[in-house]
Amino acid sequence: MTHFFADLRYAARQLMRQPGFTLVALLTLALGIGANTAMFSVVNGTMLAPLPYPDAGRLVRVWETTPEGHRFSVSEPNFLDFHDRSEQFESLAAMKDVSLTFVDGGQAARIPGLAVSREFFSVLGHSPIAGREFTSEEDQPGSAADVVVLGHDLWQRRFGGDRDLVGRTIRVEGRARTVVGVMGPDFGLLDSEYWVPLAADPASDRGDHWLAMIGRLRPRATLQQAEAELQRIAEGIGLQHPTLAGWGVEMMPFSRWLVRDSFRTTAVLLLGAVAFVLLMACVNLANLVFARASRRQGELGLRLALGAGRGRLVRQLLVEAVLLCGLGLGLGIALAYWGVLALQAFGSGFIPRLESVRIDGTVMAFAVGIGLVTVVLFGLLPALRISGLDLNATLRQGGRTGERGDQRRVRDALVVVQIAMAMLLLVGAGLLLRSFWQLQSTDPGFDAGNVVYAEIQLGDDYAEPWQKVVFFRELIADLSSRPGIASAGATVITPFSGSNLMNDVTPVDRAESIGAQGFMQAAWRTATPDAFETLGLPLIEGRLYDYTDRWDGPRVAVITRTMAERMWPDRPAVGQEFYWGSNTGEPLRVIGVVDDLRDVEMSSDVQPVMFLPYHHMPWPKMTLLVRGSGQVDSIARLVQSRVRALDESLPVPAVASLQDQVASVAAGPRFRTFLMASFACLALLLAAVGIYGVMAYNVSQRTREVGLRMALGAAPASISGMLLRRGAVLTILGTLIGLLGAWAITRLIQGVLFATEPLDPAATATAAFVLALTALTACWLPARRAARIHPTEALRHE
Amino acid sequence: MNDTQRPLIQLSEVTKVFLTDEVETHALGGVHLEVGEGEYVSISGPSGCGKSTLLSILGLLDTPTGGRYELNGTPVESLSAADRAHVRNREIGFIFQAFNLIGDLSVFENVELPLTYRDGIGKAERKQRVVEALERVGMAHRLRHYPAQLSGGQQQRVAVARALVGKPSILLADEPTGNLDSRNGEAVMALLDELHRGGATICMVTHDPRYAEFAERKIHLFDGRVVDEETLNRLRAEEEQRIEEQIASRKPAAADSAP
Repeated sequence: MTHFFADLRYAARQLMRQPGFTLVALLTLALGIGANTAMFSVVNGTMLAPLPYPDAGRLVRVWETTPEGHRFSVSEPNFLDFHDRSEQFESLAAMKDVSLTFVDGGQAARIPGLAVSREFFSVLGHSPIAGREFTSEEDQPGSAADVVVLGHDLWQRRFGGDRDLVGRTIRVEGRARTVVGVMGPDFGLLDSEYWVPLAADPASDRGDHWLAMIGRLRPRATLQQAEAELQRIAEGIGLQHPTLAGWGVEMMPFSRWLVRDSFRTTAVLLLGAVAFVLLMACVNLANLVFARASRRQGELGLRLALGAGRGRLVRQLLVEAVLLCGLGLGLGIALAYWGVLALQAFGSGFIPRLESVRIDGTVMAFAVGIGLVTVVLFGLLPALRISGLDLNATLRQGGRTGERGDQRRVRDALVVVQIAMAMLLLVGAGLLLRSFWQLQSTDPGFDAGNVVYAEIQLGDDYAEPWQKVVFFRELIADLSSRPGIASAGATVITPFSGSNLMNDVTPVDRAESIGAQGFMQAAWRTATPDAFETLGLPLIEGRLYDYTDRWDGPRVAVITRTMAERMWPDRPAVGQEFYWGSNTGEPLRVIGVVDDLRDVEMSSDVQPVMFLPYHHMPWPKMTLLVRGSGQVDSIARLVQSRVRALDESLPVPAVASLQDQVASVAAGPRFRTFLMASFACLALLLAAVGIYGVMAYNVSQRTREVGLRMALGAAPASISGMLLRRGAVLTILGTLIGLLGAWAITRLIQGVLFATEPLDPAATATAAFVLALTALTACWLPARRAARIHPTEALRHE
Repeated sequence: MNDTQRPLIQLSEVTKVFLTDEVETHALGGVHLEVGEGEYVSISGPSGCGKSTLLSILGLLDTPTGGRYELNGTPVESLSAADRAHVRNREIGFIFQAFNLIGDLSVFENVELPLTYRDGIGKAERKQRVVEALERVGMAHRLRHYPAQLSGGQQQRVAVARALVGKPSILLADEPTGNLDSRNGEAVMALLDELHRGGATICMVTHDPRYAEFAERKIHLFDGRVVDEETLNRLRAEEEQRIEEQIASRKPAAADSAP
């Protein structure tokens, strides 16, 4: 132990004597360990940490699938069939988003919740901490039971955690609902803050796919068995109901549903990137330690001559590495802590389960683990090599030793590996940057500039369709007449909110030949006539609908260019008729074609969309769109005051800029690109430091040779050229290997790229150019220094 | 140098001052020296007298602080680094005490090195000249070997071949036998003698009087100045006298302090 402390003191002295080396080594280690620890905390929190549900491995998410394999939500009758006929599940539940206005316990506010079937809580393995779950009677269609189970946060926030609330009624959406239970603080799913009975109706339309279905498998049931069982049930439903012939089911573990595959790809990609960064840091440090230890061979030889065993020598060198690594680990964990804070601040919205992302015991253990790996990579291996030095030769030369060919080759190989890894990261960052650029320059097809939006949900006071129509028509007319307002309209979904409404569409003249399955899927939007002008959607053909298209007149629709081209590729769409949903009943007549728009995902292909007059199909929840010339705040105040003027019982709607909403689509890719570009820059810096270190060491080893060559007539330019050539060879080799690696690996990130090929020539060429320029600059500096060495000094160099 | 010999090297009032931490060290103090074509000159003197500095200036590895230096009739004391490299390559052949062969290069490649810094010499001619140079030193049979596979004497012969291959005007040898045993040392001296008899101009720094005898003219350096043999002996005697007096003056004090 005495020896250990002596070694530790000596190591500390050594590090303090070389502050430059110590600083570079510490920063390199801290950045490598910090970045890895921060990224691992994300992976651990989102993908490895257990879900907050007991025995979560048995939880699954279920979708229905179309004959073409597209995922769909589940219809109410189908859910009930799956629920009643399946045996592989301990419990099955369905749910759908609701957004209700809470009046009691503060200002009226619209709060997100879920309408859930009775077994919802047992599927998730939680019970209320006060009160009870829903009864079967409360979950029956037509049940008059107005009940609600509150989430812990909502209970605390609006009702001060009142324990006597259970059994009492509160006003929700203008109706009195009895609070039957309160859930615990650790329970939640998605953003829901309360739960009301779903009361799925077996008599409702099987084509209305609204519900998200979740289930808990029986203890010994497998996912495959359960999926096969539901598949058989789906086939049975298809036999009974021809419109659902060919439909099936798809199932995935809950954890995979909550943390999407695209996020997993991104997380693994970024974790791989930081692992590369750490590996590069280790390579740099190993090179630094090798170079430093080579210079200390005289000292080490003397220690051996004085009787130190080789083990003792290894320990001494290792203690230095451990000390350095310990300091780097401390700094790295501090950096990781700040990194996690930054991720929590900027990552909300695209990092799922963000609340689980933190530096906990597992993350600390990981950090210590990579610290140990780092010690082995940059400390132990050089220590073992140095301890094996030839004592006689070392002492004879007074510690002056040259670099053997095999040593040089190892160092060269390390630099090549570093450059290749930097190339991989640069190509990855370049691709993400290119993809982000493509995303930014993609036109959504509508003009979001100077438009604000507000989601307005009409309650039970607007039960009749005409009441909804009148409310929005009056509100829009009122707003449109105000100074500074160019136009106003309403549509059923907020662009890029994640919502989408799809249904089958079939041209009437092909209905017979196609059968019950439908020709294709199209998105549908019920929208007021003014919505087209407010969104700036250009009319291409025909006309737009207006209020002269009476609700009791012919059913009409305006469709997008893509829908027109797919439905009737060989003739004009205007005047054509098509079925919407099942191929029966009154068809819709196309009266106009507008240009395409993207309002769900910017990164996916343009989808076919149809617009239906709001006065033909009134909807309780609509998104009001207002185009004005003033500031968002002033338009927001106007909208809020006019809504309250029309109906003061409605909650004050939140108003936001549509342009900001469109920009938010790029937030996730921007964050991902920023992280990857940061890691790539770090890798570039490490590669530059690495090649500089190797070249500088090489020059110091070859100083005498440089002097000799100068004595023999080599001009300074010839000397720097000779040294630069070696660096250039390493750079070219590393870049080529990196390119090969990129060719193999970038395919894996294809899923997160938008309109960008895995080996996009511009991104790849730019990455290669930046890397080559940086590496050659790093080579040029020592080469230039070598060319300026005085030949007499060089010849005396030892 | 006799009157018939064309002067190859002409130094007049050459000085060299090194500045280290504000301390001036006068390595050479006004050296006059002429070396004629075909002459064999040895430069000797005690350690620190400026032999190596003088050789560095003669070989254009260093520039004088003052004075003039003409090589082959051309002033060279204020050439640029690139021009000095050019002149070194064509006019001067170096033989070092430590051989200075590059370990990664074969014997052939080591000898070829000066020619690679010269434009206009094709591969075939380079090969021919390398082989010729190696034949002159008796090492043509080892051209594929590496320095580590040769004895010290053989390495120095290869170094001599490298100095010869560019057909320089003058060979500068810095303690060429310093790293060799007496047998190999004598062999190298015999080789230089043979080259001299073949017409080569040689300027050799040595501290060994036996090897200095091989030269036809001996130059002595003392405290950075060229002195004749008589002056050298006088200066040496004065130096020895001074040292003895210093030792004698310290003896009583040493005796007093003895236990």
